[in-house]
Amino acid sequence: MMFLSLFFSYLAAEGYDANKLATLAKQKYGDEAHNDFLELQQLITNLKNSTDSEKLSQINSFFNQKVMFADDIHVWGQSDYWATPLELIGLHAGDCEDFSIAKYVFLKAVNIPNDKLRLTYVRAELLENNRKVIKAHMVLSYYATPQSEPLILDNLIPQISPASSRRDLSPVFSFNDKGLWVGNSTKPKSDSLSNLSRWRDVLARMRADGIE
Amino acid sequence: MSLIKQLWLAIILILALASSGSFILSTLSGKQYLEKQLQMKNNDNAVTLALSMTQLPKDPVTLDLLLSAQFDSGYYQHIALTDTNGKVLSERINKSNKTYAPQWFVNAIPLQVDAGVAEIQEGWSQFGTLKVESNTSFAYNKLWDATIQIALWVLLIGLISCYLAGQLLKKILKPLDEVVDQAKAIGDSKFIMIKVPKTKEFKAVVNAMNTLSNRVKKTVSEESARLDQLRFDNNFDHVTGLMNHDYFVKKVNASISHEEYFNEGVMVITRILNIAEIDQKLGYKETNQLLKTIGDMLQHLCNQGPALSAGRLSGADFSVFSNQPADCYSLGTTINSAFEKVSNITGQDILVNFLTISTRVTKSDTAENIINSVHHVLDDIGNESSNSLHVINSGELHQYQDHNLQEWKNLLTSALDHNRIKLESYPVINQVGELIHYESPVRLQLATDGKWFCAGEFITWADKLNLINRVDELVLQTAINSLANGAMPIGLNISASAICNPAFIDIAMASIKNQAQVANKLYFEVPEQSAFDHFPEFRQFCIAVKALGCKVGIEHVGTRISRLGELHDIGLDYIKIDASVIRDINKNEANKTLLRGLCMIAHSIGVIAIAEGVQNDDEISTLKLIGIDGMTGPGISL
Repeated sequence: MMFLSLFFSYLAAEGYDANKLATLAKQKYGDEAHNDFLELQQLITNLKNSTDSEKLSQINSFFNQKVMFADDIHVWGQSDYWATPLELIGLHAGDCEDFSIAKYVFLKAVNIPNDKLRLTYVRAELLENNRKVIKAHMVLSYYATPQSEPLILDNLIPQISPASSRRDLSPVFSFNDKGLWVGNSTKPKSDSLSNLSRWRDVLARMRADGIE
Repeated sequence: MSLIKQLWLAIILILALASSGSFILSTLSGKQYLEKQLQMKNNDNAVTLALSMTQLPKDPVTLDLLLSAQFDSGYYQHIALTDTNGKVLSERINKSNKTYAPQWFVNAIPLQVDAGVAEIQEGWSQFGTLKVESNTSFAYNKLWDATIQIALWVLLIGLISCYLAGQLLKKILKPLDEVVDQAKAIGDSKFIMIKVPKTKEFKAVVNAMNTLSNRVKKTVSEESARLDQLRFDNNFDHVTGLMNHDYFVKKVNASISHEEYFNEGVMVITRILNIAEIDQKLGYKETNQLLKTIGDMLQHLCNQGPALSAGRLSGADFSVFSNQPADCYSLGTTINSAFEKVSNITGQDILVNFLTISTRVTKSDTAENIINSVHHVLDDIGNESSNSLHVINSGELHQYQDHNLQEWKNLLTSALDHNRIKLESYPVINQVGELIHYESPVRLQLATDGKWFCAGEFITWADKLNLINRVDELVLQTAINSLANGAMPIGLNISASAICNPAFIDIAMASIKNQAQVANKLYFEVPEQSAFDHFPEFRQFCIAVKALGCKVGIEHVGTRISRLGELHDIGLDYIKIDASVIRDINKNEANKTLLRGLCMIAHSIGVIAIAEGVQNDDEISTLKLIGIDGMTGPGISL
């Protein structure tokens, strides 16, 4: 019986442990972060039966509103740091990878299949002080079908738009967590942290926060 | 199974477990390491190739070339490019996946590595999926090589460990061997001490064993000291320490009736004529002192030759007896002059007056008769000739006394050269009447077809002529030969000079070894006096012949009971108790007690006690009650 109840509670968690996440947020970052996670939890529960486009726009807005863009060097004191969603919401600040990872994780939490999501390295042309600069950037792409044009979830432009309308971005490479983990298992094959890439590293840290 | 074998088994088992455990563990960790490396290679190579393909034009030729370039330049088992619908666009498979590791090994330790997967993009849209699988044959080769190497190392280290463990075990268990030897020795009633080892448990055991050994040894010597005292009280005069009348008479009679060793002897009796006067003048204490001096003097005289013994027959009468032929006149003179010396050193104004009678003793005499007739003579002579010596010829001169030394030498040499020797057989039986061995005294036929002479008749001459060892050798050889022909066990008398002669012992050892099967039927017996006078040599002799399986005993035990305790660690098999203790045992309560104690001491050191000179059924039944183990003598037959 005990195993069965454990199994159901695991199913109810929808790939992540909301209580653990909320508790950790309170412990590490205080009441505000805690409330944000409760709000996020509520949002996820509400989105269970919504359409994909509803889920995309809600999750996208949530992070774009809650979190301020900031360079890693200011937030973390290092040039490139991949933060977990807990750290992102806890500090209410993060850069493009942190936004994309958080959106990717919680879209999966509202049952958007992994196959439809890609974290994409893009070359972005930005205007800074009326001068065109080219920056390395990361966005989350959503493919309704494998062949369709993706929708782009970006933190620079809060609205979701199709890839064709984002002339400022050119894709370089995309990936998700498929093939990272062995077979159908969600557990990493090796427990050693020494040989993790940044991507695997952040996935492992998220696991510690309660996000599977 | 012995302790050392069990410990060995345990060590081997533990070593085998430890080595196979480490062997399996290292193989498994090797496998895990290889799997991890292969997995990372798959993932990284898939991502790298996907990255390249994403950047390049997606015409089939370019993609195929890229795939080929990657596949041909590296170790891959399978690379496949599929489109978004899962249709294969391009594929390479390695068909010759050969490894020199045996198939059973590959089956037993399968490497589980998943393909590396990466996505390829065409602009914003998805193009396909790349799957990369590495070739595992080289990994199996490596794993197989490593496994064999580890197996060899484990084997080598295992062997070295076994050797070291063996050495260690030997060192640790060494005290145990000594304890076991000591325990066996205690079983054989030898009470040896051993060095206390350092190991705590062994130390306790060894201390306990040493204490036990010591205690039993002490008990034995205390008991024999007590018996000695008892015997002394019964048989010896308190003032002089000499034998008292009864014991002296008994001892002389036992000597005379000993067929083997007695041929003729001499008895000298000295009477102090003015003892009453001395007593009156000097007083009780001084007189006793004088008597004690005389006793010591006579005892000193007796200690110079094995054949002599001395006793105090009454208040004023002293006697010395030689059980070997001697010159009446010279022995008498020796004793007379000894008395003269004592008489002069009293330092008082009174002189000791005495009279000495010396007489020959033959086989037909008894002690009582001689003493009686000498008393008559002494009474007759009275005070007439003080401090003088009288020689009486009470028996006829023996016919062979006339032979001179040269004649004896010729006769003995010829008898020995021509093997004119035989061994008599007098049975020694145990409590239930079974034979223990035949006492086998030697007989020599000195003249061809002449009389057979017994040891008592020729042994003094053989000793003088240095032929005694030849006699002993011949006796031993004769015994061995008859045992080899199926004779019953034989008891041989060995002389003091034989046990002191290493050359004789060497020859004896060699002869016994030649007929090793007869060794356990050979009983060597040494007279009590010889054994104790030459104790170190006797001990050597015991160790030597016992190692061959022979038995060793001491005969004529009686005068040195207190030293029996010393025999505990030489592995003696039996003692034969002198006829003087056994004679009339059924009537003598004191001797019964003595004999009972003797048997107890003997049994406590694992030695059987045999009575000598048993004469009649009364003695036999008393001896059986006392607990004697064996009997021999004129009254004993099979």
